[in-house]
Amino acid sequence: MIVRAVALQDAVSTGTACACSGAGGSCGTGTIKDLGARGPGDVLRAGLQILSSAAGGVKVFIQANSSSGYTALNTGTDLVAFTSRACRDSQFQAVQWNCASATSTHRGFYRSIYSQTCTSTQKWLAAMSA
Amino acid sequence: MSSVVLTNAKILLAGYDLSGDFNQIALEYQAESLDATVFGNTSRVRQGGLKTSRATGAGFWQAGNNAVDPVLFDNVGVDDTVLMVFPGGITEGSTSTGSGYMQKVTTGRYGFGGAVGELLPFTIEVEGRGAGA
Repeated sequence: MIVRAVALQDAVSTGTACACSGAGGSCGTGTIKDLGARGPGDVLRAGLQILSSAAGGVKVFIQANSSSGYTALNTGTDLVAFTSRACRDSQFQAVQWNCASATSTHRGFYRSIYSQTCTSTQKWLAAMSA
Repeated sequence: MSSVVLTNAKILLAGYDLSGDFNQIALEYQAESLDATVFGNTSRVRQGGLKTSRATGAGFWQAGNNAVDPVLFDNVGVDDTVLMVFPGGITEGSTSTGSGYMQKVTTGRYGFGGAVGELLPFTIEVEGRGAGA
């Protein structure tokens, strides 16, 4: 199904910290985008293009939050976890929004984060439905 | 939001940025219009049905490692690749110019051919797949 897409991160990234692994924005974060409140049953769609190959892998996540803060105490929730890849790939996921798991409001602020193998460089683009 | 002069469209398919190979791109999104007319109606009654999407494009053929020909040739009939099209380029976080469209696709047709003295063109047609991920 075709959806309107907002690019969250158009990146050429390098894993510069060897401890940079796992979820939680340990390597870097993209633009925080307010896409408005989502209701129960809404389906969010997320796409990823990994546009290069490298010796090490990159794993991209899309997070949601109820505010634009994304502070150390409020890092948001991993909404989508794409599969780690070291080669060219494209991925697509659909997530049904679970309002019951939202903290206070429907989370409308989204961003991408990634973890990446140390010194590995890759070009990629993460997008989600508008 | 202003109109877009189509000079910097970004076309990403299956992990390849093919923007520099295309000179035409078109997306179509449509729904079947089902005939729900019954006795007693005085005009046709229509009801929205299944939705479909497809993309067509054209450009100049190039062969070689990671070039457009092997990418498109190898993707014919392959399911669940992702096509992203950003008509006015890519702007992070933008919902106006710099935003685009994405879909899972199956590449249904790839062709090329031309006349003497012309740059060899290719054409491609992909169909959107399914409602879920």
